[in-house]
Amino acid sequence: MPFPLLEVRDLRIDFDMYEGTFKVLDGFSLVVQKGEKVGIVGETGCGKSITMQAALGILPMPPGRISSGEIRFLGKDLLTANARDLKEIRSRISLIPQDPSASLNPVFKVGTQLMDVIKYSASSRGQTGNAKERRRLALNALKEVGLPDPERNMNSYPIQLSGGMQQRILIAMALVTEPELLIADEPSTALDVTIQDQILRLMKEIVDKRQLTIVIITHNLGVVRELTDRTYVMYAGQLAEVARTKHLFSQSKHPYTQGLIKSVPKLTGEGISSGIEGMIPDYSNPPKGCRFRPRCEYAMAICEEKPPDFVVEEEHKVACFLYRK
Amino acid sequence: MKDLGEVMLVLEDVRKYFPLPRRIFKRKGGYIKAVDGVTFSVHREDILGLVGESGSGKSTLGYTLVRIYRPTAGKISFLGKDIGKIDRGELKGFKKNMQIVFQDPGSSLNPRRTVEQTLELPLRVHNIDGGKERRRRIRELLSVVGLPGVYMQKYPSALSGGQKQRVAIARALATEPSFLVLDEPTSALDVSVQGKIISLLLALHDEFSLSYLFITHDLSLMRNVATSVAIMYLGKICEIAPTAEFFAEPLHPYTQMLLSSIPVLTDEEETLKPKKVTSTGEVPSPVNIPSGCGFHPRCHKRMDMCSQIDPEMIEMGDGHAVRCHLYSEAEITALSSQGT
Repeated sequence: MPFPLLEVRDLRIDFDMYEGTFKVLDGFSLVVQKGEKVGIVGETGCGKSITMQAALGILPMPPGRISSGEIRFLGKDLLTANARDLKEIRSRISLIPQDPSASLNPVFKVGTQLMDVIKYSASSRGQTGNAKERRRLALNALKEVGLPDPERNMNSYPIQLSGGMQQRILIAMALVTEPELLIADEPSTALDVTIQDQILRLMKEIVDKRQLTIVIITHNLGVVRELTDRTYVMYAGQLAEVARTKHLFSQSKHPYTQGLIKSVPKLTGEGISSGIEGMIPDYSNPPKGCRFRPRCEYAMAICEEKPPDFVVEEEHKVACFLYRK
Repeated sequence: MKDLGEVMLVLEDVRKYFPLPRRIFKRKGGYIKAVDGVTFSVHREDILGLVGESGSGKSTLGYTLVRIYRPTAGKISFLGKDIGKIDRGELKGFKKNMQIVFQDPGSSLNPRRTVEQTLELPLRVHNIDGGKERRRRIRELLSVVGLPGVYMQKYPSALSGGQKQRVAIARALATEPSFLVLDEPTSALDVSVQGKIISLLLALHDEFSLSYLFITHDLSLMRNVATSVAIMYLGKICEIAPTAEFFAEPLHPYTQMLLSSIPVLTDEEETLKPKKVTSTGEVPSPVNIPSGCGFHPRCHKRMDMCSQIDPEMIEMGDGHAVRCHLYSEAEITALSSQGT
């Protein structure tokens, strides 16, 4: 029986800046079932990363402000939880961050950083461990992510490793705490395509082996197609469409999703689509209702209201009045 | 085969080495061989896609072509002139004819100059038009790249990424060049914006009979844009072919690895990826290039000779050339004699 691990309900996040209030996230909801592989796709500035930052409690506040909504992990509200509960909950969620070279501390050895994570996560769960045990766990973690010569790599500084190896270490760090939920924020964006392929295969292998729940945030539709079961498409802080990943690529309904899929150059060589007219809205004064309206070729008068999620098929929801019943 | 047209650019064994800092107690610091013997030619109205991963030397090659760097060895002739040897006086005329669009428009535009000032500079340097004419010309350049005249007074910070790249393209076109080096012009942009910029570049190509050297890491993009594709690895071209030919029959093991690594969107595309090739290993540091063929430590078809002898470029016909022992004359005869 599936049960929801992470639930985000009608989340609104504003940023209070000198220039005014930027209403970035506008009522976004998401449910991740246990054991599921979920993708969130969208272009720069669509709010995909801040949603997960809010869930992890690492959203910079201020300037960020959660103005309404709730985030639940295993039923517990993360926004109202006290510090001790929060620490315990967070030790069960891991993040694979975007830029590996910026995410490792350049002045500490890889092994030290890895063992620190183990130590902290154990203490969050009220356990104590010894240094020898931590070292063994760290070595195992490095082996699991396919790093050659883990003994030597424990004693390396991040600068001595390539981007692909640094990303492997961050994956090891995320896994070593035995998380229930793994959040990967653009895990392969900074990497070359052959290295990206290796990292994606590694993640797939580990997620399948450990039966992890994973949320992958990316702008690369191909990555989502390779790794996930279900995909949320976001546009300007709103949900555009959610469907089973396979279904999404063959039966996309939202004009934005369709435009996005069409914009990606294909190996079959059918030419280049001219992309989507216009650009993402100014968040200090976003369009009323559906935020894609100014760029949408099907825009109607009713689109000034925010479209609810219309269910077009099982597990397939589209936030677009074209699909109103 | 179609008429290739006038030859614009010919590279013969072009090399660009960067000296490493001298070490104490060591005589020589050695070199980084960023570009190590590149030969190809570009005809008028060609779009040559130069594809490689980071560190392959593709950008260095592009910079060497527009004389940001001087080649260490080899010959680059542009419209019949050896640009490695031209003097200062001629350099200006050459640069008028060959321009470059950089990767990140955020850092290639001066934040303290308005769009008008940015576009005025090349006109002033090359003495094109003057006074009121110049203003009219700038307005025209903006309209060519699809920006309204009001953008003249804006600063780059007020523009979106796509608009900035349009300004950068307008700047490159200001001197009416016949050849453009495009150094990853869309990799900093979102995919829905990329389409717009690519369409613009293709329209300009047709309108002004331009030739492009399109530097990129995106093979799928080149499938749709380039007339021919060259793959670069550790400073060398390992395969070059007309686009249709290239994707129909990728020969070099590295090309096959690249193709099989692309995350695609449709099942149809999946069938075009080479099977049974999985990506292994990483690009070695260009300071320490492996002996023989630079790709041999990662190659799934590696033979004994690969670590000893660096293969030559082998012509396979129809403009398809590959640098791999698998296709060398000697190898083919050896294999066929084994078979009989």
